[in-house]
Amino acid sequence: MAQEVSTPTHRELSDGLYWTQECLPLGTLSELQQFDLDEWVGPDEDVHGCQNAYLISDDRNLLFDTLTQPNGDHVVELIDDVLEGEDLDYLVISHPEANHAGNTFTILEAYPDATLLVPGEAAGYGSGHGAEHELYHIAAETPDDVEGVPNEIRYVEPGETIDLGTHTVEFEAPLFPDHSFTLWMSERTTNTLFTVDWMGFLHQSSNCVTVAGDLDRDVTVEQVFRFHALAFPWMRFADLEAIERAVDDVRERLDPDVIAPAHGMVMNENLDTSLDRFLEAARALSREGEPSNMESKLEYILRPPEVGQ
Amino acid sequence: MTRKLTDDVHWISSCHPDDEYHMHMSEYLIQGEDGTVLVDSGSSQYRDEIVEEIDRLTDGRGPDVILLTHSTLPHTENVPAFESEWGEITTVAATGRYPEIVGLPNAEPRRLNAPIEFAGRSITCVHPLLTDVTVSQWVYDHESGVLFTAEAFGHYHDPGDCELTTGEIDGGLSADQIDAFYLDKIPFVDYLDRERLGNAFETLFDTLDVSYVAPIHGNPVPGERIDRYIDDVIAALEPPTTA
Repeated sequence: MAQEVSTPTHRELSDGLYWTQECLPLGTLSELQQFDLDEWVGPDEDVHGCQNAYLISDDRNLLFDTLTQPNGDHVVELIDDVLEGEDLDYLVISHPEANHAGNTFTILEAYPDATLLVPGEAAGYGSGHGAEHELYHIAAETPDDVEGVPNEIRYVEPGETIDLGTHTVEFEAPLFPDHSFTLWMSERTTNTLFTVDWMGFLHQSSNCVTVAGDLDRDVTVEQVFRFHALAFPWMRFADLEAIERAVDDVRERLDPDVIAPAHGMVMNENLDTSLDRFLEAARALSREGEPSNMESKLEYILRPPEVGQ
Repeated sequence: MTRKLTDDVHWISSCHPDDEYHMHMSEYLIQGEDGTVLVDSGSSQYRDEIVEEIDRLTDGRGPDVILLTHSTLPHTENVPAFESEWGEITTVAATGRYPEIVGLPNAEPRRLNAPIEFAGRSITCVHPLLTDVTVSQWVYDHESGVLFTAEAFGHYHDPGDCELTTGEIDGGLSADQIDAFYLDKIPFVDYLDRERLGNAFETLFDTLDVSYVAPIHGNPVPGERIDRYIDDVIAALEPPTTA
């Protein structure tokens, strides 16, 4: 059966902080036989992936990520609706990947006075190839690159803050990125950490856009494992001690009260339990990358074509 | 620039320089029994020269199939323009579900882990052992033995080496240029267990008979140079020591 990206729904997390989500139905238990689902999904329920974007409505308004192209018009309607006709001042893209930034230019066209904020430098040890922004049409010095989009484009770096009124956002160096040009963001008033691709999980069709504490059942390691296996395939080859150190850094230095991922539910209580669940998922993922597992898997999937094929 | 890598695999490449480095933006055209398979569509910044090269290689017919290795703009962006130029083209996205969310509403999702016939050619697509964003695939052409590796196995190069395979570069490819590319592209080197990753690479290259490793952002690496190249990649993935 053809499945479609759902139209986005939203809810207010706290005064002026909105969470919007579109879901990707992935199938039911019988259609996803490779998943070990029976501990967290019923026989007739759909499993969903999702994408989130976050809107802060304040003296100045800011949107973090854009949802995806099939929902371009819906996203603009949703922003209009939440902002009640006010302008969007800032659009931030966490990284220039289509499922995070696919509606960038649709939104900029709708809000020609909005400033586009993009990661200025690579998140790794390098500074990034100097031409990387040009390839994504987000180079600050060449705004004419995108015809008809007069918006200012500005590079932002970890540590930079933007005062929105009651809320203040700060850009953070991502501890678990995929694309090299990635930024996390935090919001000081609510102590929310926006972790982009990290800390997501699959969910049941009954639990869309629901904060983790209000879900109709507990989140399982399997949900977290399946998501991270998909989003961070390098975790198969991870040094678990290095991962644990990074999680400790989240607990001790960043110490959020709310974790708001791009591909899972917002977590606003028992964050230590959520972080422990991620570590358990990372350990399971690491077992997949053990040499004996990889060997048998690769030998199977790289088999030659059958004669006559 | 276009040159033949094997009898029926053409390397189409543009060079994207910044102040310090040259970086390849490559596509590859496989001439199959029943048509042509284009690996990646390239960036709009090089659209005119890519269209010209493909037009020449296909006698004006355009590719029959486009296989995308990565779902980011510099790899996917030219698909609509190619369809305007040559008509509808069977396009396979580098994502398992919902190609519309990566901007390719008419594409088919990738099919991994078994040989599939495209334009009369047996091709196996696998999820990369090393990638930045997960919406990616490596493509192995069984007949030519060329392995197309998306973002992985890339490197920068010197002006003057743009059209060479790594085997033709005088003095060989500098390990520093591999190192610089990975430090820019792969932001999670602190977490990698390089021995495990190296073992997986070794299994891959023991299992497949690879004539060339063909990255999108680097000079192709001929089979006899792969072992040394992999050693350099693993070394490049070591986090730099900080003072």
